[in-house]
Amino acid sequence: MRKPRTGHGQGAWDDQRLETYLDGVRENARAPHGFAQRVMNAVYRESLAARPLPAAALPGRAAAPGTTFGHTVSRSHPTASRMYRRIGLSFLLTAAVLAASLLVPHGAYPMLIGSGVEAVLGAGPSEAVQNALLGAGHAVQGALGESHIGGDQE
Amino acid sequence: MVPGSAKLQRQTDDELIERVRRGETRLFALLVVRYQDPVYGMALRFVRRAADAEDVAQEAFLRAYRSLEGFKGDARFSTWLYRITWNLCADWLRRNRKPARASVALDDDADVADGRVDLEEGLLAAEERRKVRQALVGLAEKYRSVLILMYYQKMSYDQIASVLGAPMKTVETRLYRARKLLRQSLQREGVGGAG
Repeated sequence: MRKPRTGHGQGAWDDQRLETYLDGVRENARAPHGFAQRVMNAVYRESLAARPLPAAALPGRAAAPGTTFGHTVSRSHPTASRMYRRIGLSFLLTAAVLAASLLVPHGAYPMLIGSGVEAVLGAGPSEAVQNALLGAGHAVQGALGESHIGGDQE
Repeated sequence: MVPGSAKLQRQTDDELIERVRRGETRLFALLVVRYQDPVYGMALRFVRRAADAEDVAQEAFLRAYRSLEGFKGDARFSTWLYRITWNLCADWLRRNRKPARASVALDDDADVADGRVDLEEGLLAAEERRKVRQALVGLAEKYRSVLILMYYQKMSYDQIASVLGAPMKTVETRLYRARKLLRQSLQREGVGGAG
């Protein structure tokens, strides 16, 4: 490694004096109190959010989650609870979809009595809808026909 | 606060880095404690405001942690860390050029009042120190940076070249010009008959 030179053609005395002046204003800056702790908190936040679990932090392994700066840093609990929350949420959503798919046709059923929908409930959903619409069409046509006849009578 | 025994404290940077890479994140604290003063000091000298210097220094350590996997060990960890710090300082200076220069006098006082900066017992009177500091702050960024790294951070030419990512010849030239400009500036201010 090269050592810094003091002379560079302009006169070593000048550089030496300059160095003395610069040394005179040199500040021994110290990091503020608690700086390392704040850095490590940020490091832990980041590593918890972004990285996969290290082998040592997994439950049941020899090394327990690390204890730093007085608090235990556990990586397994937040991740596990998040996983359970997601499973629970997807289960609830599935149940809601199933319930809706069962209840909606039954709810609509009384309105469609007589339109032939009861005969096709066992069929696929698109066929059921088509037949229901067809039945409803017949019903409307029938009603129109009746009113037309009635009009002739008047 | 810092994990570990005296044995851990004696571990080299490379050994600690290897262990952090293997998942012992808490050992990164030892590296932080080891380098917090020079990194913070470097940031403070460039950005001149204690709060900003703390932000820059914290970000430097965070970036170092994030990039630890990519650290090849070609340079020393300290040099690599100073380079990250310098890059952040350079970004900060690009964004805050004018406010940083304008606030330098106030900030020096604030740092001393906070007890964050421990002024060395020097030969210079307070007024001369202020003038030297002002002359230094008045230099263009590329000249100021080499002077700070050499005189305040006590880096060698090699290290300065690595930190700035510049060829050694460039560092030598910048240092020569920086000294010359500083001498001229001090002469104009009438400081101690320099030059």
